[in-house]
Amino acid sequence: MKPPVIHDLKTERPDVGQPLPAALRVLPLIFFASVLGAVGMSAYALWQIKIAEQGEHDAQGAEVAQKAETKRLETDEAAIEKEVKNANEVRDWLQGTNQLQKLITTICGSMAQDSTISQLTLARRDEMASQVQMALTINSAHGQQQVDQVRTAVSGALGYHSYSDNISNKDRKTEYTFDCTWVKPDSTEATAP
Amino acid sequence: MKLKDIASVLNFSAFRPEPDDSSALWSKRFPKEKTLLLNVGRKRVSWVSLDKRGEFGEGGTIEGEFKDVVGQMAPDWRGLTDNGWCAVSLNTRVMVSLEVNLSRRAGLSEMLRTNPKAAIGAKAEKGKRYSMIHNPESNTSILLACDEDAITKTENLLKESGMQIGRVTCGLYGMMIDLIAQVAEARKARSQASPGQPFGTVLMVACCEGSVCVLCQKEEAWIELRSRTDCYGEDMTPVLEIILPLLQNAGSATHVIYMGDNVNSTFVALLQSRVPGLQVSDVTVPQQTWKIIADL
Repeated sequence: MKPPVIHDLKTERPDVGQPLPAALRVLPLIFFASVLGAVGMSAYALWQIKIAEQGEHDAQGAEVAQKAETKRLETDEAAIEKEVKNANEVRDWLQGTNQLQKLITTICGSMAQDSTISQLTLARRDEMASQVQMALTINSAHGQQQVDQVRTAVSGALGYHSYSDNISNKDRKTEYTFDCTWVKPDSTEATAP
Repeated sequence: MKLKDIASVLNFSAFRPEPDDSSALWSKRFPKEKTLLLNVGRKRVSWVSLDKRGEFGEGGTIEGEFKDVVGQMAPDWRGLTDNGWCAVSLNTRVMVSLEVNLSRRAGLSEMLRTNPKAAIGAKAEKGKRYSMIHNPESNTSILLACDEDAITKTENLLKESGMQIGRVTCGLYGMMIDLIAQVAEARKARSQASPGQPFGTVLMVACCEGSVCVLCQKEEAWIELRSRTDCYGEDMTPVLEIILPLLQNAGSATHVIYMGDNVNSTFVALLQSRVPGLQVSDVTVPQQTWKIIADL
């Protein structure tokens, strides 16, 4: 019986409006949710931009490090190539002296029991690699005979042809110098061994 | 659409009743706002603030006519509110009467505010504002008539003092409506508990800021009503002079139900000393007037 609202006698304002339906409260709620969402998305985008910038900075740092590493590797490669070149030169030299070693072995093997080699010098001619200039000093009572044995051994077993022979005897020392050229067994042309 | 309309939607105020929407509850109109409640008698004004949580705060009472008091107290009252909104209970220059055979057609309450002549016919007087309630079980109605001049003067005085009026009501009439509702509930409970047993005669007494209204109800019928404004102060003996003739007419078995401004009134003791053995119930609760004015 009691009305929920007490009576009112005041002078009424003619344009008193009714409140909007409660269901429409969803509109400002959507608006505020949109604002919050926009702020959240902006913050997320800024965060992602910051991460991307940091990633770009890291990538640039990695690029610089890679370039430095590449440069170091190129320097190392150049050093290795230089070493390889030197090694090849050594190998070539060793391969070039292989025939001379046989020549020395043959000369030593041709020595008689009472003969000794005082000095042996072998040198290739720069202008013709197939020619070897040899200077041999022999201590022996039979110098001429020994020289012949050397000459026979060199030309017979190894295929060297000697020329410009020069022999000198003094006391028991015999100095024998000659130039020799290695010739392939099936060819008359001189080639470098 | 203006910017303020958009702002009112965004701050949700558009979904609440306007502050001066008389059809809405006071708590719905000011859900998070401090307001002021004023109870005006002829020579005394009392007030209390209602805070944002709907609890009563600072209050006071001052002797004097409202037109003299308002200029003096307005700054303090303004400070007890957030935006100056107040509800006024006028207990002077009002008349409560018992009427018979008033129209009860739909929309009558609204018509009573806008065109009293069309609503209550010859009983309407020029320069009065009305409110009424009907007895649902008989052809009687209680009609409140208040001087329009008193209302407009009160409104103007408060407006000039920087206050805003959200409600003008009559606390005395509000108390009587509350008493009638309580008696109706009690009667309903009695009829359910003891069917066929008579409820008896009840004398409802409402006292508010020096004004008194007494309604005699026999079973479901309102029999007699007396009201008088500005008739008592600290001494409530003048109230007895109004009640005693009604008591004599109603009989000694009458149950007196009293509602006053505040608890611990001297009225019950005074009445029982004058009429020994009379059944008197004081249904006043703390902050009674303010609770009625603020729809609490």
